[in-house]
Amino acid sequence: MRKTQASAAGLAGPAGGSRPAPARARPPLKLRLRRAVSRFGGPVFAGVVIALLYGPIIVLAAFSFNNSIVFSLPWAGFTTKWYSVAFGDANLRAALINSIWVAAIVAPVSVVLGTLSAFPITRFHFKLRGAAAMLVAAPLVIPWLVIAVSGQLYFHFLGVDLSQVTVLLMQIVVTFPLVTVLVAARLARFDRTQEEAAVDLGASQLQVLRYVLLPHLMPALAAGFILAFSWSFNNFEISYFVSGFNQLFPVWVYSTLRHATNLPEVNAIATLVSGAEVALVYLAWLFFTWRSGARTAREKADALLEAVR
Amino acid sequence: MSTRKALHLPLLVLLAATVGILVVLSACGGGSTTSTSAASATGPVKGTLTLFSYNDGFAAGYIKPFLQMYPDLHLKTAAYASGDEAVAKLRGGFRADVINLCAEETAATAVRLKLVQPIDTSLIKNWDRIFPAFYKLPGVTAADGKHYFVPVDAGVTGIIYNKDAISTPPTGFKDLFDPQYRGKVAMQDYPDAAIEDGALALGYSDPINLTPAQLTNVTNTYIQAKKAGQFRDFYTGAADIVNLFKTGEVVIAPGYTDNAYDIEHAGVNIGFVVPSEGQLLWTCGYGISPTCQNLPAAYALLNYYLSTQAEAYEAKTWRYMVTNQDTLNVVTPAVRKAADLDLPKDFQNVIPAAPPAQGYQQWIEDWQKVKEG
Amino acid sequence: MAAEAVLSARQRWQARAVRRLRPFGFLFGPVGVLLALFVAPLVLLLIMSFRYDSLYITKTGFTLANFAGIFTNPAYRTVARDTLMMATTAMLLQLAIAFPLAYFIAFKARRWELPVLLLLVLVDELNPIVRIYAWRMLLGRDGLINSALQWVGLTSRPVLWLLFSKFSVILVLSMSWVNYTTLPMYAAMKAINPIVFETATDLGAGWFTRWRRILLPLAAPGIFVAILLVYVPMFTDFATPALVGGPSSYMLGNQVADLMLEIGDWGTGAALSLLMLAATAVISVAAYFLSRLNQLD
Repeated sequence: MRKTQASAAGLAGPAGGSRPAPARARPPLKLRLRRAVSRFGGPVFAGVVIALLYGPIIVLAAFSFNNSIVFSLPWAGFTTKWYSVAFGDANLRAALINSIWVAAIVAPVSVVLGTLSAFPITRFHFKLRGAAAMLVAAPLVIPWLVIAVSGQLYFHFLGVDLSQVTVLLMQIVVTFPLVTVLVAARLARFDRTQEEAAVDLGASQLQVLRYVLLPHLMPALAAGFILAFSWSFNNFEISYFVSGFNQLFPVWVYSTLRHATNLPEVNAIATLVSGAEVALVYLAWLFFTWRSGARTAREKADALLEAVR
Repeated sequence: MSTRKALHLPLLVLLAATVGILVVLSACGGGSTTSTSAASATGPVKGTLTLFSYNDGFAAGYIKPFLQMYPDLHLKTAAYASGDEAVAKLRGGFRADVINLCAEETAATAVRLKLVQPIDTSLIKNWDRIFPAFYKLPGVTAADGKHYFVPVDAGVTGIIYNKDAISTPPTGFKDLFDPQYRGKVAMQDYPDAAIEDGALALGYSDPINLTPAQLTNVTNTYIQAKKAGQFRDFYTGAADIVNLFKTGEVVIAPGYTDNAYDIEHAGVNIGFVVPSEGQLLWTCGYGISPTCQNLPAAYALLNYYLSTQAEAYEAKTWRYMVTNQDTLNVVTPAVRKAADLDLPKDFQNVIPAAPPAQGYQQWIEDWQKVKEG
Repeated sequence: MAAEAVLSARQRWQARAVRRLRPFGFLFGPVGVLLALFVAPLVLLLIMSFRYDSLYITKTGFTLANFAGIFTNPAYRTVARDTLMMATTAMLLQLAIAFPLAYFIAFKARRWELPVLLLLVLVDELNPIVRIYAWRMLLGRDGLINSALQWVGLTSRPVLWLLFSKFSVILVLSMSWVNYTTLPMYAAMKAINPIVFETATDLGAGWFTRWRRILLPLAAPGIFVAILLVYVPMFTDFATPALVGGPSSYMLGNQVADLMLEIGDWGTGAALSLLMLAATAVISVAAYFLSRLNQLD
């Protein structure tokens, strides 16, 4: 059908209108321009946006090898000394390690809490269901700044010192609803007849859970885990207000930018961390695509979009 | 299910649960912890110690001898850019063992909020060698007669100017408002420092205890100057002002001797002038938090800061004045003169900077007005 | 189900009770966490906003002075106005970029659809502070853009307003969130059957008519969802203005952060947070209902 359309209407595109097929003579400049725009405009535009999104970090990465404090040309020579400075900085190492283990705790806890809350909301019908759903969705809607400020006041009220534990707790609160949404979306699309068939064949509740539901939920759980981990690692607003002496990585970057002049070191570590994050997630995505075929990849993207819902 | 009716029950349940939780939790916790450390202050110096101070408190060359003296001690550090930030954070639950406090900023508030514990001066080796005038500063000796922080260094707020851009040296705070420097001036973004600088620029003899009329005058002068584009930036901390001078965006600003050192090191040809209107003396030192569990290490650090070795480093490197009188004999006469180490003998011509005892809230609000007006 | 009839009354009651309580069993953990760490702090915030709590005020007790202070102080009005202006401009800029981009990915990209989509989603993995910092390095006086401009010869002196200005805040806000803006619009457009466009073209509609009367209304829910997702975080952001903004681009988020962590006036900080919550709630609710509007058709 597309081919017929194209031949009948000329190049159809965002800017192209319906025109009769061009004559043999060379089309006028204006038409050529329009065609070029409609053919290349889209990809060029997308390319520009992607460049704007990734460009700054790529430039950062490039300059982390520049043998100069100043972030401009001319290029002063290739060096890896900023990386050694970064690794030699005890505060930075501590901040990175803190962020990693906090995220390593927040991610599984969020997945557990998210799954636990997704089940009743999608499957059971009980009176407080709407309220429960609203409660679980609330941290996604309330601005993180407000949650962070309330957290700071709360811990002071309780007489609890600020530390990585307080950050951990608040991060769990804002992260697990994301998992809930992902798992709920996946659950909602589940074909109940499979479950009923399993029960008919004599499976216990636990077996149904393990052998029927869990495999189906796996993509959502995996996506939830990865997203929760990166949300926790990258979290800044909440960490800024409720973290204590032992800093987390984003807070470290922020303080360094505000207090010190040692910027190239930040370039180096920022490059490393960014590269690692993107690589890890991309690898995870590739892994799941490979495991379950290309369709699940689309489903995962869709699942993400559902979360974005 | 009609949404109205269905909303009432869940909401009530929610409210009840929350109130219940708050009641339970307030019964358990409530207020900030002031755990008295049962740890003794004498003993081997090992373990971990956390230090919360300005950047200079743990500058590499400055702290190295201390780290070498106590190889078994692990010192963790965190920096703050302003005393206000330090106090607000500490009050919010941020915990550290040794805290850098300054008399002109927040020492009095820190004492009031019990963020530091009384110091056993018998454990401070050089306590009696401190210039007598320093004992009277708020926080060093509080109203209850106890000592809450050990003063270590001091200095005068001066006018830093770029010698390559300004041919006739400025004379005082007045020059910061001079239209010939329009757009190239930076002021300190701390309410107390900024307003005291402004008060001296206007010629008030007592920049601390301002009458409401005088305060309004200072604020209005700032607002008018800001509207006319006099200020490029309000800076917080050394890094900001160094960058501003380095890039040439600012050619004149109030600052301290360590700022001058940093800017010079960044390659800018600057001069430091003591203002004619008055010498605002800042004094900083260190105190111990009530939650400190490693008292031997804390006292060791305090003793180090007050030692002639550490203070000589400060005098030589940053041209700080020092509080330990014996340091004067340890440094070269050139350093003694450059850092003006004899000044603390007599506070007659000096204004020990401090926020006003009353009405500081109004200063804060007025400074907010200047910043956003 | 036939098996139930054989059970005794007591067993039936038990089964019913279990069924009724089961959701609560599941929800106990999550809801408990939310109540203790989310609802309770917010209630505390509400209470604190009505109390005097400042480092330098000796008064205590309940008061409306915090709110009164915010409303009467012209400084807050200026900051609020600036915040509104910057957030809205950033939002419009993003919509202008994201809408064509979403259209391209949804309808035109074909084999590039998945890679581009993946790239957009992956951007989120990058640390937001690092991304802001990267822009600061690019826009600075000594930064790449300025040195490139000078090298090419467009300017002889560094362009100062590139950094520490409203421009930089708006630019960086937009760049930080534009991927989030694109995705809901893409999702909404995916739901449109392209045959609709072809039919319209057959009936003689020009591109503008197609855009205005078909694409826009059908994609509208996506636009409002995008606004719902992105506007509130931008409005309450404080890291961006703190890092790339200057004295002229102070936002409400900075104000709250200063009140809480520098000035120590927690009463006013709580009050301002609450006001921001109210304002963003209004925007969110409006956007939510607008996004549902189309579903009536």
